[in-house]
This record gives sequence, C-alpha cells and structure tokens, in this order.
Amino acid sequence: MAINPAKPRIHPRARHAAASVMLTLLLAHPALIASAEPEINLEYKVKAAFLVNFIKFVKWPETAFAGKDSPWVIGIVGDDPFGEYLDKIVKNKKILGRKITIRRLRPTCAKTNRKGEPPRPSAELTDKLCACHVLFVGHTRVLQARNIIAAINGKPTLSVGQSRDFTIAGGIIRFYIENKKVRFAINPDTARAQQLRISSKLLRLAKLEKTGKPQD
Amino acid sequence: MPFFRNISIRRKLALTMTTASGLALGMACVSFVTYEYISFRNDVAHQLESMANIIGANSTAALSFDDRDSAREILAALRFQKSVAHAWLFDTRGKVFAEYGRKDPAKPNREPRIRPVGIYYDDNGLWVYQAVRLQGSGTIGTVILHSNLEELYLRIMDYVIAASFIAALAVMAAFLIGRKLQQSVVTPILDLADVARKVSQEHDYSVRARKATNDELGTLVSGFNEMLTQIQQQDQALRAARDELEDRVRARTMELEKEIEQRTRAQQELNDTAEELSRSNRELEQFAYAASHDLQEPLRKVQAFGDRLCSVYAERLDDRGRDYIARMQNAACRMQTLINDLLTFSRVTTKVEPFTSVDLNRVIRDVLSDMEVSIEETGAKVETGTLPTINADPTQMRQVFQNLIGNALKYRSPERSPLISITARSLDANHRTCPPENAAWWEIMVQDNGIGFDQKYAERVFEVFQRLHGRGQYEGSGVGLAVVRKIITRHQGVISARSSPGKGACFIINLKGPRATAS
Repeated sequence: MAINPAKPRIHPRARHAAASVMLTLLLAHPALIASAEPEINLEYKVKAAFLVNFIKFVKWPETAFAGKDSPWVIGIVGDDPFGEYLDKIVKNKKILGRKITIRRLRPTCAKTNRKGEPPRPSAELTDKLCACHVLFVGHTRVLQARNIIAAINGKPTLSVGQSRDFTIAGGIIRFYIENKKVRFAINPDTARAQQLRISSKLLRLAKLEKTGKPQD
Repeated sequence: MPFFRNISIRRKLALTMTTASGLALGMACVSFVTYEYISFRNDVAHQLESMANIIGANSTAALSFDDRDSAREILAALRFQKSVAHAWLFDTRGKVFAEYGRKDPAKPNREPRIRPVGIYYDDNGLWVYQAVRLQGSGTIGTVILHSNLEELYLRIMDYVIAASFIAALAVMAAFLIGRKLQQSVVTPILDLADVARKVSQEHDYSVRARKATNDELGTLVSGFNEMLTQIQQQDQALRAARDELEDRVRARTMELEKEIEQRTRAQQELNDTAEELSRSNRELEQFAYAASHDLQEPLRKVQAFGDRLCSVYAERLDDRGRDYIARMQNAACRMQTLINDLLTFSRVTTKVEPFTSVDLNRVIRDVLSDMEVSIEETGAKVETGTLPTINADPTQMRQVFQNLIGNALKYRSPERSPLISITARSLDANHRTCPPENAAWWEIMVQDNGIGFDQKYAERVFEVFQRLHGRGQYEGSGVGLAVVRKIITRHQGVISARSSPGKGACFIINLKGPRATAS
C-alpha cells in the first residue's frame, strides 16, 4: 500500500525499508492481529504453505531422522499465527514418504541465567527445538529470537522467522513482504553450518543474506 | 515422343543421362529435404520437450512459492531459443502462472487450451505440453512451449535453395562428364553410321568401320566389317562374272559377225555364181535356140534337095545311089527331130505363156484324146484320178503329160499290155519344209507297168540327150524328160522318178496349187 506498484524499480535499501515498515504496520495493527484469531489472513496462509514447501527444497542429513518412517516435525515457538490452518494443510500429507507433525513449543527460559544476559531457552526446550526439522520462531516476550537460534546452532533445524534481523542474527530463512507479496530471505552460510542443503531453486527465489551486522 | 525418336543418338544419350541424373537428384533432394524437415521437426520437438522439462524443473520453486517474477525470468531465458515463439506456465488450477512471447504485434499471445502432456502439431506450429512435477507433491503445474517452426521453414528454405543449387551443379557436372563418357559409346555408333552411309551411297565396299572398344559395340563393328568383307567379295565375284560374261558375249558376237560376214560373202559368191550360171544358161539357151533355128534352114535345103534328087534323079541313079540318098534323107529327118526337140527344150524358157488357171483333168483328157491312136495301137489302159486345178502354163502342162504318157507307152513291157495310172493327192503343210503361202502342195503321180530302170539312173533320165537304151531299141532324142523337168522347175515344182528294172516306173510331181478343198 505504501509502495507504488507502477514503480517497481526501487533501490534495494529503500525496498527493504519499506518492507520492514509494512511488516511493522501489519504486526502492529490491532485489527490484523485480532482478525487472525478466528480466521487468519491470506498472508499467513501463504506463509503456512511456504513453511511446508520449504521441506521440499531443503535436504536434511540422515541423522535428522530417528527412523525410516519418522515424520517431519514443524515446530512453532512463540506466537502461532497460523492457527489450525497449518494443521489442515499438513493433514494426510506426505513428503518423501514421511508424515508431517506440527509441534507448538512453549518458550521456557533456563533457570540458570547469567546476570545481564538475555534469557536462554531451557534445556528441555532446547531439546525440543533441536528435534524440529523446521522451526518457526514466532514473537515471544520471554525469549529473544537470537537466543533460540543460538540454541539450535549446529543442529539440522531450519529456522524460519519474521523479524528483519532474523537472518543476520543467525536464522536461516525470514519472511518479508514486497509488492504485497510474501517473499523470503535466506542465509545460506547458516544453513550450511547446520548441515542443511538448500536447493538452488529456492535460493534463486530468495534474497540472500549473511550473518553479521544488519545490512541497513 | 516423335521428337525424341528423330534426334541424334548423341543428343538422345545426353538427354537420357541428364534427365535420369536430374530425376535422381531431384528425388534425392526431395527425400533429403523431406527427411530434413521431419528430422528437424522431431529435433525441434525433442528440443522443446527437454526445454520444457528443464523449465518445469526450474519452475518448481517459483510455482511452490508463487513467485511469478521468477517464473517469468525462467521463461525469459527462452529468448535465446529462437525456435520457441511462446511459452506458458500454468498452475494446477489451469490458470496462467507466467508467460513468455516473442514480440510479434501481428500475433499476440493467445492463451492455449489445456491439453494432456504431449507433443501437438497444428496450423500454428508445434505445441509441447509438459507437466511440472515436484518430488513429494506430484504435478504442480504445466509448461507449454509453442514453436511456429519459422526457423524450420527458414532452414528448409535454405536447404531447398542449397539442394537446388547443388542439384543444378550436379546435373551440369553429370551432363559434362556424360558428354565425355558417351563419346566412347556414341563415337563408334556414329562411325558405323557414317560407314554405312558411305557404303549405301557410294557403293564403296572397301571402307571399314574402326573398332575402338571390346564391348558389344566392338562386336557390332566387327560383325559389320565382316559383312562388308563378304559383300565386297560377292560384289567382286559378281563383277568378275559379269566381266567374263561380257567378254564372252563380245567374243561370241565377233565370231558371229565373222561368220555372218563369211556367210554373206559366200551368199554373195553364190548369188554371183547363180547369176553367172543363169546368164550363161540363158546365153546357152539363146545360143541353142538360135543354133537350132539357124540349123533348120540348111537342113531344110538338104531335105528339099534330097527330095528333089529322089523324085527327079531316082531313075538315073543305081540302087546304091538311091540307098545313099535314102540314108541321107533318114539322117536329115533325124536331125530335123533333134532340132525340133532342142527347140522345144529351149522354148520352155524362151517361148512362154502367162500362167492361167489350168484344170489338169481337162489337160489329161485332151492329151489322151490326142494320143488316142497310140493308146489303141498299144492296147494300153489309162486310169486317171481326180486332179487339181492349178495356176500354170497350159501348153507346157499339156507337154508334161504328153511326154510322160508317151514315155510310158514307149517303154512298155513286151510281156503285158501297158497300164498307166495318173493320180493326185494334196500334201499337208507338214510334209513340206517350205510352206506355201495360201496354197497347198500337190503330189501328182504317173505310174506305169513298163520296163522300168535301175534306181541309180533316177536322176540321169531327166538330163538332155541322155538315153538308157540304144537308138535301135527305142526311138527318141532323149529330150522329153528333160523338157518335163524344165517345165516343172519353171513352175517351181519338183519331179523325181522311182523305179526298178522290169517293175515299171513312177514319176512324182510336186506342184504348188490351190488347196484341196478348193478343187
């Protein structure tokens, strides 16, 4: 809405800025959040579908599965914007012969926390996080996304977030909105570090980002 | 093709070769172009199919994540593929997800209808439908590629032009090489035709066709030459035979000419001799006539004075004297007869009457009437058959029969009374070697039962003064039969005698007369 569709050629930096503005608007808008409760909007339907589709374009190491028939585990930590929609689309669906399980994880903090540092996930949560193949990191008040990402560092878990600095902070994929469309950015370095091989086709669609300081 | 039938064999061969090679090349070119067309079209189809596969594989993420821009980008890569005119990416709901089209204002992209996966050809060209599959979720869309085969047509056009050019070059090359090669075939044939023409026009059998090759043409040339040799030999033999014949004819002609000349000369000589003979004969006759005529005068005087001596001085002479005078007068009388006979003989040719129609029956009757006394005296019996009427001197005819009957009476047998038969018969033309013109030949026979004579004297009896008996036995001068022959000869007839001693004689006269039917 803030972006003029007649002028698609915008400086990337301006584009990102605009996207973040819109995302902020979207997230901040009470009406949007409120309407998401009974019936989620199109954006999250798309994101839910994307979340499932990512499985098809990423390759996990064999160690990521307990057994031959063990399912794909999509974990959601923090706020769940998808509601039952996600459960609906994965129901009776098999990807490469495996069923898909949705796990909603409660963000719990570790008891022993160093002073002055942000709270880290509890050991129990960390185990659960690491057991997910895809982890959607929603908004939490208790834990910072950065710490959740840090908890799964080196584990074959595809972290997906929505915040602007998610990939910079070590997340693998982050959603963003561009031209009223849901797009995503990927940090391939992190993915490689977590033994995940992301299809070039997927990379082709994504904006590529690196760990480090924010680009803007 | 009357034109083809009449042109030279050289042109015929060239035409045949050019046509054959042109046809072969044309067919090869057509097959080549057709093959190229089909194979290129298949190539294009396969190319498009694999391209559709690649595009499909590349589009899975774009379709999965609803990224139309990316899908368009993927399709846009087709701009380097000239064979693809349009491309579409459809999603599972049958909606266009992305499309690509070459800029062609005349033909705006028309959305294709959904068809099962496969390759389709229609008026617009080639369509390839390919499913987009994603591992784990099956078909997630359809790729449609369209080629208007423009490139194919351009390429085929290039091929056609190139093929036509090559074919034209090849036909020209075939024509040129064929012209070289055909000379080995055509030259001997033309040589042969030339030789044949020379032979038929100039009749020169000595020419020979040149044998240049050892193939069927060589055999033909050899056969032709052999034939010519045979013809030449036959021709020479024929010429030789003709020349020989001509020589022989010439030689024979010369011989004949010589012979004719000889004969002519002989004839001339004969004629001369005959003339001479005739003249001398005539002179002789003239002389004989004149002599006998002139002899009469002194003889008459001898007789007159003898008569006067006898009548006036008989008493004064003694018997001896009178005997002398009687003998003298006797001799004079005999001489008188001789002279008369000679005159008669001469007159046959000198004193002539013109020929008239003479009835021989009447002549015989007159003669018998004249000789009635002699016939009665001798008691002879004369039998006469029917005689013809002929063209003759009547007096001489009378003389002939008078002499013949007289002879028959004179030389009668003393043992029996004479019997004379005079008969005549017509002779067929077959019996005579020289046929008369409009006249039959008659044979008149005078047969007697007299003393006859030896057949060896059959010719002698007709000679003048020739007598078979002494003067004492039979009187006569020996002129009668000679006169008869002379008369018959004058009448262009023939007389012959047949006899034997004691068996009578038969005189056969052949005379020309009217036909038997006319008598």
